[in-house]
Amino acid sequence: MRQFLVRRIISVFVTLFVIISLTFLLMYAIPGDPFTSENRIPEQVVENLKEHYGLNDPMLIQYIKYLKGALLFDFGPSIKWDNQTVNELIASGFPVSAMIGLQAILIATFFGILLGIFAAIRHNSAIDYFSMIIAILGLSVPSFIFATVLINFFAIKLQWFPVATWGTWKHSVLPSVALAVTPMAYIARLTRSSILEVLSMDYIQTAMAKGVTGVRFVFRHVLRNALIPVVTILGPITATVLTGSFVIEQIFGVPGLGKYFVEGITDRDYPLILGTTVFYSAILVFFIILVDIAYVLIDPRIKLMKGRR
Amino acid sequence: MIKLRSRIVFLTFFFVITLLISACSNNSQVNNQTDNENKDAKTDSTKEQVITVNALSEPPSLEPALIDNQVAGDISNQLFEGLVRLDKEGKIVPGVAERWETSDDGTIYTFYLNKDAKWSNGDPVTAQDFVYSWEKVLRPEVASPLGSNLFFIKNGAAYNEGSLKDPAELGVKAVDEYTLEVTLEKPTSFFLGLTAFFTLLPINEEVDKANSKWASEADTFVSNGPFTIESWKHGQEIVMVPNENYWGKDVVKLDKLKWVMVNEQNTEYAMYQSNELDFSTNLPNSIRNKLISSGEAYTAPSASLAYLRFNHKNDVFANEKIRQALGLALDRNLLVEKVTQGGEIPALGLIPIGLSSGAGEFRDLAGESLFKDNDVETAKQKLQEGLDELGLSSLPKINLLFYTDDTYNKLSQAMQEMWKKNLGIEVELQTMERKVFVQNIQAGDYQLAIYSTGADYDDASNLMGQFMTGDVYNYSNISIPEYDQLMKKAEAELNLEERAQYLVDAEIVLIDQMAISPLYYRTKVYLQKDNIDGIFQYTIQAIDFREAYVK
Repeated sequence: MRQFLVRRIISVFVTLFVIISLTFLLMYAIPGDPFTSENRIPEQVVENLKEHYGLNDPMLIQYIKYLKGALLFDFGPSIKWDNQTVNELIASGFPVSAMIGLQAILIATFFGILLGIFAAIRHNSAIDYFSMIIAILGLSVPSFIFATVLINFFAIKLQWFPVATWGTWKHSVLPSVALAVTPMAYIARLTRSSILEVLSMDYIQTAMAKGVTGVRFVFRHVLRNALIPVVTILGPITATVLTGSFVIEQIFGVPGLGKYFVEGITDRDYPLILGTTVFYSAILVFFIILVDIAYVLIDPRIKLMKGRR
Repeated sequence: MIKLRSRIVFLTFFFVITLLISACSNNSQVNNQTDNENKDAKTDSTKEQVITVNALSEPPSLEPALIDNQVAGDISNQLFEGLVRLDKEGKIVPGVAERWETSDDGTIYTFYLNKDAKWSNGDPVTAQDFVYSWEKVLRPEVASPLGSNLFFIKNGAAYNEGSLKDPAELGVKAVDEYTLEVTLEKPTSFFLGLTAFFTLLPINEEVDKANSKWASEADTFVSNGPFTIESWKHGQEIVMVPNENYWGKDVVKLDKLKWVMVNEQNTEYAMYQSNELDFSTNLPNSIRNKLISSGEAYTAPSASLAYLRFNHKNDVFANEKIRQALGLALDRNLLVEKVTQGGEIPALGLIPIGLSSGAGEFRDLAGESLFKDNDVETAKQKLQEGLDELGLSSLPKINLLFYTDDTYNKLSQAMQEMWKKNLGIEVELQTMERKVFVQNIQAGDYQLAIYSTGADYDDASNLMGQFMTGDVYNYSNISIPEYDQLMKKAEAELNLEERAQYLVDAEIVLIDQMAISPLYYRTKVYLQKDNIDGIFQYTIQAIDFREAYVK
């Protein structure tokens, strides 16, 4: 286990280095810079701005500075948000995104697996169709439409929740639900198909022939095997959902991290692009490791050292 | 089993359809309901002097020198006060300066400051504060994005460029504690109004020197305007309360002015409907026209114009007749009413409604239209003449470039259709990400493009310089000697009426040749609850809540 972790952590750093370098290259490959604008800004003002943010330095110097920033996790001031550093932006945005994300993941996992189980064990029944139609709707209806329906119904009509902005727990309900729908649908479909597969296995058939049924049967024999694919996707989904959704945050006026990913790029805010990318990659890699560990806990047949040559 | 299945299919269909119906019909039901609720809410909340408005997003910075966008400009305008301010009608009235004098040649302004003007920490607002603030805007290391607003001051541009190092040579001096003397490069008719603009707002010298990050948080924020910041949750909310030390605090009626940060049109509208907002300026495009025609939404001019940019370096568009043909063949009324639908006004001239000529409103002086809209007959004729001049039998395929934007998408398709129908011209559409688009235009790498321009200060000349030969912003490579001459005359002219006349003549020359083809003037479209009054909006200057109140 320890050896596994050490190897994984080394590979994490290599992965991150590649991501960071690619981001740097891509960032500067996009035409335009932070100060490209239709507004009539005098050349010398743009020159002052570039000098101020070190954009006139040679590429290599910028790259080294950039690597240093990534290594020390200090990305310097944002170009667009003058009065805040990228670290501050992440520090203020992440807890908000993470809170909504965590709630969304809990909703999505719980209801997703539940729907999947019901659909699978009542295969081709009313429950199955109903669950899968919900799942298909969840996957195919874009989250912004779903969010708008939620706002119109629960915020304007019933007035149970505020339309938007942030503050109390009430503010977090609608965005969490809106964010949960797509992963929930995805998890439900995956759970269903994977349970169906397990149900056709010999050992299950044998158990069923022996008359084992009921909740215990489902949880002990079926689910434990069937959940492995679900756990696999749960890692990346969690990383994505925790770091915020641009669309959901935009619609609900939530001060999360999501908008910085998108706006950083449209604004060509280089330090912000770097900061959000490194942060997201780190979280993603962390969850992938977590998933690897979770495999062992769920399925003792999987050995972490298996990949060793 | 089969029976069950068909029932399921039916049920799910039913489920989906009700969902769709409820989604579609929601709006109308919601409207009725909230209308009733609004009435209830109004009677309840008459006494509470609180207004909630939408800032759209976190202001990147609230320090006047670093502000480069409307959001921060609107917010800072409530917190700071410049030498002058604008009244309800947009007339210049005393701000920090209680009176001022201008030298006969129009280059020296002497401002006498109000001795009651105080910072929110109790310090007096002094002439030295202005000297310090303006010097800071022009300091090259500060890299103020709108620093060019102070280039009218003597040596302002040179100091910003770095070629002049001594700040003492700047045309701004504190004669004594309460007297400020400003020397300009040359007479600038709009300078006085410009001192109300956010780049020229003062900051407290001592506070700024003691803590360079004073403008980032509520508890260190020091300002001299009608309001101060009570709390500031970044990315979320700014709450303002009246500034107890403000000299004119008696006219401030609000107890609280709240700024939320929601950058989504539909959400903003929903918040307005559910009374979470009292004032809304960012309405969903799809319902703007409906709200305007029902009288719910109001419109106000905004000095901004969308136009077609021709690249005059292109062989085809170097020809005046071809440009005229393309410009005349468009039905701008139809474009505005059926396509863009955002309360825009068809533009038949360059200078937007509401912008000053230096001697009265420009459009009043120049007339509303300089050519006939949708003049298909003339357009056809011009096209034929143009083709003959160029020795072509038909136009080569034209490429229309614009940046990715819902409105521009629709607009470009409608224009493509009009050109095809009216002139038989094939136009190919090409869209790009915004900054990539801007780079292409700046590099002159285009034939025809949808572009927009807005004024930074209240004077028509601000929009006209960019079409002079050799101007750095002349990305169309326009070169009309007659236009250049008129513009130069206007620049040198001290008599404001005559100067305005030169500008009017110059616009005629530019538009007659269709050096660019105007499309529409943008307008501000906004919603305001019936129980709110006293919000002042201007064509250029930031919004003013100083005298706003709840009825």
